[in-house]
Amino acid sequence: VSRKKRECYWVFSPCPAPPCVDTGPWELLEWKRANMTTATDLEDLDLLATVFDVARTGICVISEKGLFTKVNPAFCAMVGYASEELVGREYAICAPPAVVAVMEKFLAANLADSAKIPSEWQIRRRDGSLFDALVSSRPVTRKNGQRFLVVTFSDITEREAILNLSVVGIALVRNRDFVWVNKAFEQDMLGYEAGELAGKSSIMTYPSPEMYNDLGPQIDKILVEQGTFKIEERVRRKDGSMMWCLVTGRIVERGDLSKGSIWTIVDISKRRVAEVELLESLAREKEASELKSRFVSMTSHEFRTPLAAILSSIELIADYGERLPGEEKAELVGVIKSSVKRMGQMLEDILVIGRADAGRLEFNPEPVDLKSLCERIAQEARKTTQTAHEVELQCTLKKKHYLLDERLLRHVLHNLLINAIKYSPQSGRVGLRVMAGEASMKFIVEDQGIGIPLEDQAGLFTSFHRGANVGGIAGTGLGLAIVKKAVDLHGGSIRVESAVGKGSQFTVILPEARGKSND
Amino acid sequence: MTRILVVEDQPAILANVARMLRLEGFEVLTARNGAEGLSLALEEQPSLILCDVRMPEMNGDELLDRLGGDSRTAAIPVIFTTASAENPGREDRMLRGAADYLVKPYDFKELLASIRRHLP
Repeated sequence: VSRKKRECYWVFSPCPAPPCVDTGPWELLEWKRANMTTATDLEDLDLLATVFDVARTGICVISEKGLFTKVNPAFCAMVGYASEELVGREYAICAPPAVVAVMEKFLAANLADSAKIPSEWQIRRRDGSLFDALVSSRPVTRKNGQRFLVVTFSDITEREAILNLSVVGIALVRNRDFVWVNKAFEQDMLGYEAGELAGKSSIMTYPSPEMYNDLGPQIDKILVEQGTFKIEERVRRKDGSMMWCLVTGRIVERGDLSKGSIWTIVDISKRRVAEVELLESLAREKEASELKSRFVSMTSHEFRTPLAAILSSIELIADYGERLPGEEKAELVGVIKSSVKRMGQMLEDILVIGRADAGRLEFNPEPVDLKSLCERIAQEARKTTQTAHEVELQCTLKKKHYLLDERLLRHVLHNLLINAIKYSPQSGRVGLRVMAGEASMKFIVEDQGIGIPLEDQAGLFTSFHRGANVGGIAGTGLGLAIVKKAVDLHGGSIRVESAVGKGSQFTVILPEARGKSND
Repeated sequence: MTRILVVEDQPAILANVARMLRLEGFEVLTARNGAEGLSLALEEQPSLILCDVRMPEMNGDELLDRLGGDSRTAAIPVIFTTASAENPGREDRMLRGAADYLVKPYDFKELLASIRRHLP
C-alpha cells in the first residue's frame, strides 16, 4: 500500500497473495488495485496499515531466508535503525548469538514449529546494547508456498528492571510451585543460582515440611476467600539457615487459585533481631526489677524475725532479768546467738548468690575424702536445724578420694539437707544417698515432707522463689538458687521429683573434676 | 486474771512474748499456728489475741476472718504482729477488723501499750 511518501507497507489481509514478496511498490499497488474489489476492502487495508504504523509494539516480518521483509516504526525505534536499513537485511543484525542459535534451527526447519521459539528474547540495538523483549510469533504460508515469520516485540526492559533490581523478593506461585521468581528473592535472599527455583515446589522455602503441610492449605484458603495473605515468618535459605521475612501474597484472579498467586517477600531479619534484643533486654530489666523487689521483701521479712527474737531476748534480760532464773537467762542468750547466726547465714547466702551472679564463684577442685565430707555435712545439717530429724546417710563409693570442689559440694548438700529437714515438719526421716563410681558422683537427698507444687517446680532454682505451700516455714528462697549455681559450676546436673504431701527427691550428678585424684 | 492468746510459729519469739506477758501478770495461752489458735480461742475465750501473719496450717489473715465470723469470738480484739512491713498488709488488715498492727522487731513497751489500749 503506498502512502504519502511513496513508501510501501505490507499488511496481511484476506485478499489473494501478491505475485512476489520483493515486488516494487508500484507493481504491488497495481496488484493490489487489481485484487481490491470494493472501496470497503481498500478502507480495511488502510486501517490495518495504520495499525502497523501506530502500534507501540514492534512488528517485523522475516522471510524463510532470514531477511527482514517488513518492519514497523515501533520496531525501528526499538533497535535504532531506519526502516530502509533493515528491510532486505538479515534478522541476525538485531539478534544476539543465543537467539540466532534458536532461529537458525527454526529457519532450517522451514519455519515449521513456532512453538519452539521462546517467548522472551534479547534484542540487539544498533549500538550493540541488548534489551529484553516479550515475543510472540507466528509463521504464515502464502498460496504460492512462500513462508514468513511474523514477529511482534514488547520492550520489557523496564518491567525486568523493576522486578530484578527490586530489593523486595517477588515470586509467582501456582499449585504451590514457583513459576517465576525475581533475582532478589532467588539469589540475594535465598542464595540459589539463577533459574534454580522456577518449576520447584515452594516447600524448599518453608521453615519445615510440617509447616508446608499445615500452614500451606490454610494460606490457600485465605487467599481464595480474602484475596490477600500476610505473615511474618522464617523463610529457609538454600544453605538451610532461616531469615525472618514479611511475606505478602495476592491471588492473581480473585476466587480462583488455579491462576496462581503473586508474593512479595521483604527481609525483616534486622528489624526482627532488634525486636528480639529489645524484648530480651526489657525482660532482663523486668527480671532485675522483680529480683530487687523480691530481695527487698525477703530481706525485710526474713531479717525481721531473728531481729524480733534478739530484741525480745535482750529486753527480757535487761528489764526482767532479776526475776528470771539463771537457766532461762542462758536460754535467752542462746536465742540471741542462734538468731545472729541465722542472720549471718542469710547474709552469706546473699553474698554467694551475688558472687555467682557476678561470675566470681570459683571452681577449685582438690582430692577430697568423700565419705567423711558427707558425714560432716549431714552432722552440720542436723546441728543447724536443731530438730529431731534423722539424716540417714548411705555411701557406696568406688574409691576414697574424689577430685571435687569441697566448698561447692557443701553449698549443694548443706542446702538440700537443710531444706529436706525444714520442709518435713511431720516426718523425721531424711535420706542422703551417695553413689560414686570411677569418674562421677550421684547424690540423692530425699524427704517425706510437704513436697513442691508442680507449678513451682519450673522456677524452683530462681533466686527468692519459694513454693506456694511453704506457709510459715522461714526461708530466703536462695538455697536452691545457690545449689543450682554450684552444680552448674561443677559441670553437673540436678533434677527434682516431688509430689505435694508426699515429699521431694533431689538428684545431683557431678562429674569428677579432670586431673589426677589421689587414689 | 486477764487471759491473752499468743499465736506465733517462731518458737523463740513465742516463748519470749509469753514469758514477758506472764511476768507482767497476764495469763498466757500459746498456739503454734492459726488452726491451733482458733480452737484455743473458741475454748478458752481470751480477752485479747496476739497473732503472727505468716504461719503454717492457717495463716493470720484466715484466723482473723474465722474469729470475726463466729459470734463467740467476734468481739475479741486481735493485734497482728508481723515481719511483713509492706503495704497493703497493714491497711488491709486494719480494715478487716484487726485492732492493731505491730511490725517486728517491736519492743515490749510498744506491745504492752497496744495490749492495754485494746483490752476490753
